[in-house]
Amino acid sequence: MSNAVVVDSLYESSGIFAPIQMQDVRHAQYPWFFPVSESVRPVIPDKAPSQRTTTIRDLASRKYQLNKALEITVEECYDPHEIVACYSEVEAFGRGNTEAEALHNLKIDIRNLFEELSQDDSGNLGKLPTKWLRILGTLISEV
Amino acid sequence: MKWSNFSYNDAQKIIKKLDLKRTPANSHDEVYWYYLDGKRELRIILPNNHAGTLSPGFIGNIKKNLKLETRQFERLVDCHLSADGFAAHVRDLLAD
Repeated sequence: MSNAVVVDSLYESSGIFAPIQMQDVRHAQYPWFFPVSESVRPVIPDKAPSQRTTTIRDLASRKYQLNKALEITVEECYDPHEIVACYSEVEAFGRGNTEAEALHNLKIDIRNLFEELSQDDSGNLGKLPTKWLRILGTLISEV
Repeated sequence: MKWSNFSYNDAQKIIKKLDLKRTPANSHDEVYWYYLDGKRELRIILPNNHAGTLSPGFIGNIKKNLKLETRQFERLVDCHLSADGFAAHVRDLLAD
């Protein structure tokens, strides 16, 4: 009996599965006797997105300023890796490879949304955009 | 379609189906508006190029913008949820 088999039998008797590398070696040597079982291969779960909150205190603009800090949700996603930042009160959104980039794009989006809504004098704003404009109007002022 | 496989081409399908209107934006994504009864109701941020796979966070945001649950979102892309069906869904939401 080889040393590898002795070690394997110890693993099996102890209820611990043999390391994957050892199984692969056995499989390579005796494929008809040691088929590699998928059930003992570790399943590496997809990394779940991680979420946290942060605040922004400006809109990266010389024209507009924030009257108060905004609470922002920042989510780190995988596969592909990306950071997304949302200010859900007005459904504004920014994304990027880094948190700084995502927050900068979010600030741009908030400015764009505010400018677009405040310049719309057609009377065609629906229920949600009207609410967003009201919220942004209290949060943003011109410098 | 599974929602996590949502692609640039699926975004184009939604734009056409819901007749979304693009608005000029200074960001690297495209901003569209959904009009209902002549009024701007929903703002949707969509990818502006074919580059790569979209992250789950970005797709999740599109779902949120459209006010759809995962199953409804998949049905919208798969053509089972029609433009009229979507309009009825938004009307219901706004009536609440």
